[in-house]
Amino acid sequence: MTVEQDDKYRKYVTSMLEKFSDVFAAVMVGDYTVRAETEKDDEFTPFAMYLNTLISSIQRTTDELSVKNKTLEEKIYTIEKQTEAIKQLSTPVIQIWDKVLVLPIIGVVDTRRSEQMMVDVLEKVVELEAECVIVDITGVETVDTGTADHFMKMVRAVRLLGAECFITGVSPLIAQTITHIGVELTGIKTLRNLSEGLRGAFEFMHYKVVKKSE
Amino acid sequence: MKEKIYSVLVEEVGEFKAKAILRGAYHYFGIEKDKEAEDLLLPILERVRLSLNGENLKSSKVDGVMRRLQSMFPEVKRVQTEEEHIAIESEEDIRMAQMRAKIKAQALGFNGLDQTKIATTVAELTRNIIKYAGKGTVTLIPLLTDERALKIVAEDNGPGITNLSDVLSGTYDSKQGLGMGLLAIKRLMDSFEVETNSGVGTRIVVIKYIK
Amino acid sequence: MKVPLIKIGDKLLVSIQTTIIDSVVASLREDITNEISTSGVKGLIIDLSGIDIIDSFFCRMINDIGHDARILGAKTVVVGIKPELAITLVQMGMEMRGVMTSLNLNKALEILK
Ligand SMILES: Nc1ncnc2c1ncn2[C@@H]1O[C@H](COP(=O)(O)OP(=O)(O)OP(=O)(O)O)[C@@H](O)[C@H]1O
Ligand SMILES: [Mg+2]
Repeated sequence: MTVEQDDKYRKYVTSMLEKFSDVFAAVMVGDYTVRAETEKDDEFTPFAMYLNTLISSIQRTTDELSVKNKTLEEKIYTIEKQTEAIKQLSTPVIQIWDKVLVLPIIGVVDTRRSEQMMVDVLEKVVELEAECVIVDITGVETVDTGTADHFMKMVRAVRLLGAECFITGVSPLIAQTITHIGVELTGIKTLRNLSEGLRGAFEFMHYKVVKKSE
Repeated sequence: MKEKIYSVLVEEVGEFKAKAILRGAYHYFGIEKDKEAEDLLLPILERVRLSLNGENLKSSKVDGVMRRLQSMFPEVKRVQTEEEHIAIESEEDIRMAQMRAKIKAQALGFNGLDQTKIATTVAELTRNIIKYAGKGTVTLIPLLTDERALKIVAEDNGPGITNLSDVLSGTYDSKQGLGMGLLAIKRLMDSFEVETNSGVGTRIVVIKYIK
Repeated sequence: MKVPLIKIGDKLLVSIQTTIIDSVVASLREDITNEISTSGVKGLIIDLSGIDIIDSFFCRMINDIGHDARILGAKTVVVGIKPELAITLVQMGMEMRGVMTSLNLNKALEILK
């Protein structure tokens, strides 16, 4: 190699290295649109190819990640919202009397929630050998066909286990909507309020409440 | 173990891919890195090949290794991820199929109620196969994507359901049963599809997602 | 596989432990109707506490047995349906018609008293 050739080659290598440095620098600051380019077919060609592949894979991964991050964020947001809602709306099953359970429902009853309530209530019925379940819907503001259907299912499921189920707290407004939307709560005992429900439960179990002194 | 994995991989995908995948595996599973590691460009070459194929290299690499390793080491959560193919030929198979469906659902993380729904669905599907087609198959397919799910495919070469729309609208009056089975499945599952041809057979695909 | 029938006083107890196949259903129905009509029991208790799945076929069998019993003048109480089965049944749109239900055997006996 002559001195001239040597010098020329060194310049070429330097310029290529600078080119690659530019690309690396761009990538370093997060610009993945850059690509290394080569004029000749020499040792730099595969190098550029590998580099470009790496950049595009980083680019793709980053894109995917940001998309995933976004959906994740959205999911976390909904989960947070749901947990909050569940906290507000989670429904305790209360044993109000020996073998009598009360399920006070507040808020919106959707499919998922009603299913969870059914599981909770039925398990409690088995555990405590309950004979009566009072589903109190005083805290339910609106009832549509879906909601009414959930209540029907709840009553049927409780009865399949062998316990009786009353629905209490049916406000005049809800009673009207139920009639209006044409849902028939056939065979389902609805009572005005919780104390009527308790009275109903006592009656069902053949209890009699009497004043002590008499 | 390393040798065993390597030789199987070479058989399956050839030497170069095998090396690249294995390197990924070392990294992924924390197996001690091979001292005689090929020059560092190998994984890059693998990336080039994959990226030229337009594949998502990261997950496909991991997936490939996972699948290979799982087939070699069956104890690696096999029950959960594998498809199960069940031949339905007699009434005894109905019970067997529903039991296996329940076990699979449990392994996948379905809650007790959903396990029951899945087993009940399989009971309905398989009983219909026995009753109306004589024999057929049920395949349990775990879907392990973002939303985990179980897909159930029931197939037979029986007479086909000739009055499907009546059955699904609830206006059908079954001679042999209550005519409730298919409607029930539809209500219990998240997705329900029927493909049926008179004289050719029936294929019912249902999916239940984990809540 | 034969389902045992047990007589307790004037009641008949049928405890079904596993899913039943078609051929057994027919003979079980026959056994029950025979027993009711010959011994004149007034109550039939079907214990399902050992059952893990109730499909439409099984549900229909229970309803049919209840129907048979009613015609022969006996009341039927179904005992021990598990919570998840009850929920699945109502979601399927299935009903147990013409039979009573109870949580356990004791209560069933009380109901039939
Ligand atoms: N695999 C099948 N091949 C052919 N026909 C079928 C098949 N599955 C269902 N059918 C037809 O569709 C009808 C409805 O089926 P479905 O399971 O809903 O009710 P059923 O089997 O009649 O009664 P049930 O399931 O309530 O015991 C059946 O009566 C039968 O005519
Ligand atoms: Mg059927």
